[in-house]
Amino acid sequence: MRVVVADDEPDVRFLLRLQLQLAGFEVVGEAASGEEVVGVCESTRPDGVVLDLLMPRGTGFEAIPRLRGLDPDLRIVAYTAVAGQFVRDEMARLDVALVLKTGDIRPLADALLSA
Amino acid sequence: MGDEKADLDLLRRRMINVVGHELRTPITTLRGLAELLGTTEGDPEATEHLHAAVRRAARRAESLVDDLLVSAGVSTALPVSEPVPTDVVDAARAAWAELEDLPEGLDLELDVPDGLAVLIHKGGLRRALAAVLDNAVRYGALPVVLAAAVEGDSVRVAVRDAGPGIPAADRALAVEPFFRGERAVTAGPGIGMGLALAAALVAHHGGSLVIGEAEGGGAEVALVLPLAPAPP
Repeated sequence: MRVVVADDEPDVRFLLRLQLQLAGFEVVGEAASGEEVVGVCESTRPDGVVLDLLMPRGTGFEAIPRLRGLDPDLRIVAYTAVAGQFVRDEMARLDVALVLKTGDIRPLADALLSA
Repeated sequence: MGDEKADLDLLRRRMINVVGHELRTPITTLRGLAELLGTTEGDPEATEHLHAAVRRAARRAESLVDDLLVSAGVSTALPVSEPVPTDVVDAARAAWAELEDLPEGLDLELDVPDGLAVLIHKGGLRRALAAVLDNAVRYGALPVVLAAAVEGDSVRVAVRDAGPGIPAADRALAVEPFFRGERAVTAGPGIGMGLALAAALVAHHGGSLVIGEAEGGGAEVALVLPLAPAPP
């Protein structure tokens, strides 16, 4: 499965790249903002995207409808350190899988495969 | 009494948010990176990157905890070292170099007399200025100017930006830990700790942090610190 990783923290992107590769995914692109992830997905056409929600220059929230516009079948997984009720409700409304950041890759991998 | 309880509840909620979001990121990164140690042995470049990332995440978690405690007024977290003469220009340059996400090639504009020094614990001025400069870059607008001048027995180190300024009604609150003004809340992620941290660090040495308005309407945040005696 080809995925794009979007997070404004370079070390989080590095970690996710290594973890996802070890779990059998192909990481085809990285982005540091909600603005950038749309362009990267447009050029790489991934199957899935791991999307941090709180990023400068265009949040993950803003990117979701644009990503869906690019590819309605794109598997989007929101990957966030904390999720209050608003975030949980919004992700449910948008039908986007939500995974809390953890050092363990399995919940994220499972969400990508089943999103 | 009711107001005090409401204030404490607000502080508690803000602290939980900071610990939950800002501290969770380096800690979960650290755990994930630690589990990957040994998996990159055949790739020296990835191994070095992995080790460096572990060090960065650990340092970030450590400094976040320190900053959190100091800005929240926990006196046991304040530095115990004695104040030392600290060159203002050196500290300003070091603080500027620490900032993340700066446009490439952007320099801090300095207006500081040669050799001007203040009395503060080692690393304290850099840490306080990094917090104030970060605030100016995030919520103000460029250019950011740092100007310093002697005022009696003190030195006033002022950071000015060209943004919309800090509203007068928010100035007292801006040094409260975890307070975020309307502009900060809408500008993106942040923890509302910067000015509180700077204020706590300078107050520890008998100094103060003064928020005002720069010429043109931007914010001016000044650290007032004891002047270091001239070297013999």
